[in-house]
Amino acid sequence: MLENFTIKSLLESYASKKISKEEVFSAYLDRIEKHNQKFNVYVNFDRETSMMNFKDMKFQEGQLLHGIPYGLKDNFIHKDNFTTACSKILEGFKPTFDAEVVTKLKNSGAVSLGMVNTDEFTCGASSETSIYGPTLNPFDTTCVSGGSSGGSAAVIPLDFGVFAMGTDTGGSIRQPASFCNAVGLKVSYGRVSRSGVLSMASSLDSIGHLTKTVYDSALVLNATAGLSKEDSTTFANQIEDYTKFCGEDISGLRIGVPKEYMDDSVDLEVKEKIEAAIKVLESKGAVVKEVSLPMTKYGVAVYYIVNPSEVSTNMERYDSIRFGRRSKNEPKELLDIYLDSRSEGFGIEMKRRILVGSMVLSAESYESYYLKAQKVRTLIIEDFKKVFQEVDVLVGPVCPIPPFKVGEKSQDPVTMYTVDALLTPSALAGLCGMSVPAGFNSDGLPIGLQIIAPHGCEDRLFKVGHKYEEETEFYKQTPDLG
Amino acid sequence: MLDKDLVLKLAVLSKLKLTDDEVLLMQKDLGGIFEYFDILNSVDTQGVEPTYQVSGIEDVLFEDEVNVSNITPDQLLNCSEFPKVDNQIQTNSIL
Repeated sequence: MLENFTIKSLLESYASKKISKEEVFSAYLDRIEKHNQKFNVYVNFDRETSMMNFKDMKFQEGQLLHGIPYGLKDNFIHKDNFTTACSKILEGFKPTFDAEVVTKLKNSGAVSLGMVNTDEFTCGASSETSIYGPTLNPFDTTCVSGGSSGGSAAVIPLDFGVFAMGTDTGGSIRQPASFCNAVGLKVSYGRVSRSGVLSMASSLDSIGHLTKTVYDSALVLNATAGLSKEDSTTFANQIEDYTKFCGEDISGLRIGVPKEYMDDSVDLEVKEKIEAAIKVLESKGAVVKEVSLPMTKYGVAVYYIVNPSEVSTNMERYDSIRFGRRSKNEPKELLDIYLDSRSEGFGIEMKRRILVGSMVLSAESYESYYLKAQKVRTLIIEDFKKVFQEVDVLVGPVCPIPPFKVGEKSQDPVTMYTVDALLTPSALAGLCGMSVPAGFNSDGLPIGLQIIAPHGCEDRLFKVGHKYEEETEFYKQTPDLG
Repeated sequence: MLDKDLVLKLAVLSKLKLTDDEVLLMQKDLGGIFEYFDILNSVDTQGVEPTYQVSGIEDVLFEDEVNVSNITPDQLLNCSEFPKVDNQIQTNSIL
């Protein structure tokens, strides 16, 4: 009964009294219970907790997301639900309050089904660094679902929820969305409050969501966006209803295709799909031109200096004393508690990033790595500023390659890092971006079209994304669960 | 390969205790990562200002209002696995 429910269609079904919220919520729980083991999407799943989430809701008629069940990435603080960031160090941690965005969703009538898988503290591009193991791709279980929001992305084609919340620091919403045939929105830095979302890299972290359609994406943003007293990087929301941009005409809209996003590093079939997508946009009246972002090739290096610096700083708070898992070793002094708990609690990728962060922030290396990277970051931002004088949005592939095999890249960190080559530059600049399903390759694996707009211009993503989706409707293709 | 002593020094700074296998792995992995960072040496950054944040927002001020939380001290203390004494968490001594 749940196949292909979008937020829009479910709200319509509720309005016409065809179906009740209770029935829908339990049907989603049944579906998760039946199929979750195969794909590893929900973590610490427990029907009773999910039912408690439902019973605690204060439903009111007219709520924006009234009775819409969703999956929450395991790094959003969720009262009375295990919130572990898929790390051993937070094993058994049940928060005493909700993240601000979770409260906003509750007030909008959306009900959490439970927590979904992510790379440990969102550090990864395949969800393989999760303590619970990777989320397998719904279209081919030998492949990853991407990351870090791999669980959130898999929710969409599997109908394990009508939408899912995710976070994007250097591509962690857009890339898994592309791998799982979902619409993924990375908002502009500061569009949505980060309060209560476990910090990874604070100058980059942004809160977004994954949905079936572009219209649904706009609906969720209506509920989550806005200025917050809890997060001083947020800015006032001037737009009350993002859905009004869905359906707008795109004739005359200037679209840039960065040549660096379509070079030889891009898989041939991915390139073909993106070229076809560009033709669709052109046929609807958009004016397409090639542009250049020459700093693109430095994005991953800058990102992997800035990110570990901030990761190592943010991870300092995990000392196992006030919360989280404590080592069973008998300590002789306080330092032993830190050393034992952190060494047992963090996985290998977290250790890697903490060590890299300690190195690039050290007095000897600060100038040659950290300061250098922040200067190149300025040049990356200037690159975007320049092209946005000529065009309104940029389009290209989300990822240069289709979904890869489980284990294929996890042994070599640099190979894994470069998967996000087309995503880190816009993240470093704080821009907004979207991944929209763009079809399947010859192996039946999904490919995503990336749309990038200037900071604060999400309206353009909805306009372009919706027009493209209306013409193609790739989101309607779902996997066979067997 | 990064020097073993450097990895050990970074571990101390990071409050991490690494096994021998982990030290070897980090020598190799961090070596590869820092080699990759060399790509930045070819960028001319003379006269370029660094970017530390992209929001462009400065000096955010709010009224200093008392915000009553409904979270009890017990709820917070229960998040810790350590023994509790007089509403405090008991740990080992620093020295």
